[in-house]
Amino acid sequence: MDTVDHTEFAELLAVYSLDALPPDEVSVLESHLADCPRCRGELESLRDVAALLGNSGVSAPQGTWDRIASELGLPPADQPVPVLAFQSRRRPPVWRNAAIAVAAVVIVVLGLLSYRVVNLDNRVGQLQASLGEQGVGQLVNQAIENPASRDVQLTAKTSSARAHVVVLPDGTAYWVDDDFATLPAGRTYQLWALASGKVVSLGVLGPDPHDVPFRVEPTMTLLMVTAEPAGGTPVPTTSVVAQGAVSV
Amino acid sequence: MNRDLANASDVTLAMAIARWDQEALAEVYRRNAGPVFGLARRVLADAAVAEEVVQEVFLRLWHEPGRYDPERGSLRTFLLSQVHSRSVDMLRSDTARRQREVRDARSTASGQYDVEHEFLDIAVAEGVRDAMGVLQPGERSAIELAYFGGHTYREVASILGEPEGTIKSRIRSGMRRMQSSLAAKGLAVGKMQPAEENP
Repeated sequence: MDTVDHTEFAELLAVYSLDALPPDEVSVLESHLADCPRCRGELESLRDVAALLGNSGVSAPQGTWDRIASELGLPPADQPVPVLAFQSRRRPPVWRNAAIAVAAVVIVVLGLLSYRVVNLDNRVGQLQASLGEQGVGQLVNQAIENPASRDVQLTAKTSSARAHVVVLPDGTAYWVDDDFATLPAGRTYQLWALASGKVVSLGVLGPDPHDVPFRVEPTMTLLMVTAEPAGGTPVPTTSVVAQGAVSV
Repeated sequence: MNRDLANASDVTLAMAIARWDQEALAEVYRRNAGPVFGLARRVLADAAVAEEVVQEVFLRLWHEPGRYDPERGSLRTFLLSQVHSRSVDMLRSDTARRQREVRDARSTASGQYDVEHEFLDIAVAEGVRDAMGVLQPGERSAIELAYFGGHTYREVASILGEPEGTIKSRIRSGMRRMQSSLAAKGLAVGKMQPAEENP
């Protein structure tokens, strides 16, 4: 196996460790893994990182164990106790080290990624209703002048179009303005956020948005805007017009 | 509770399961069912389906304990890997994905996590949180969409409007960055080294 092979497969290993490799590429990589201990070793390391991401402090629902136990049944009659693969190895077991090292890792509890995702749909409408139209412009100005506020620029990939958003420390945010083209009748810009790996709608902005309030939650890492049919859609149906990283 | 099993290592428990010891499986469940269920629920965004996956994973361990290899990590890591893979398989069926996307768009409250845990180890938790913090926004978005969103890297590229090669690179660089951060804080992430002979 030469270096080029490892370089090519190294990128796939990280994707594979997250179960994010498309099926048609999985077989190619798995064929390589079967013959390459080096890549298998790297994959194991990456799996450890992924396991940390997935580790959490939730509790399983009541009754789950009872349902599992009810399906265990009786041991097969006259069946010898199987010898597990690791028992048959001559190499001494590593479980002691593994247990110690992994115990520290897996017992991680999980404040990690303790995401609190709230119902975000229609937040724009709710905020607008509570603020009243007349007060929004004034609030936007106050937010811009607030030294604790942060500016977020949403930029386009294929054009110079950009939008200006201001975010206050408490998560209150305003779509200030943009240089997007005004959409025709029947179309609206819609704001989305990436929150804990999920794309959630923050609401519709209108065909020519300005001074629109919304809320940014701590779980959100990215704002995106798309052009959608008037009234908005539950999931994005068009390409992202512009996007920008955000945090609270 | 069987006192011996309560203190048993992963290897001891796996060997006991191979001998059809239901108490051993119950102990494995007691230690790991919460995180296993939490990951399935987060990926699937459906507690009922997540519970089915949990049952499937534990029953598979019962019938095929030899699939667990302690040299590759803990039982927790093994079970989390199993449940994530199975959850993603289910999610990628059209029906499951469609149901989830609609649900996600309307309400994402189902992804909530409890923060209390009897084994809370603040130092370790902070280390993991710091590891997430070292990621570039683009890396974090790609990893979260892939791992928790259950998307392939091609789908992530489409969602984020980036080239597929860029997403692959970001996932790789992000994973390596987290790996380095965790290792620097003494969290044993990496291939386990052979142990010395047991006394």
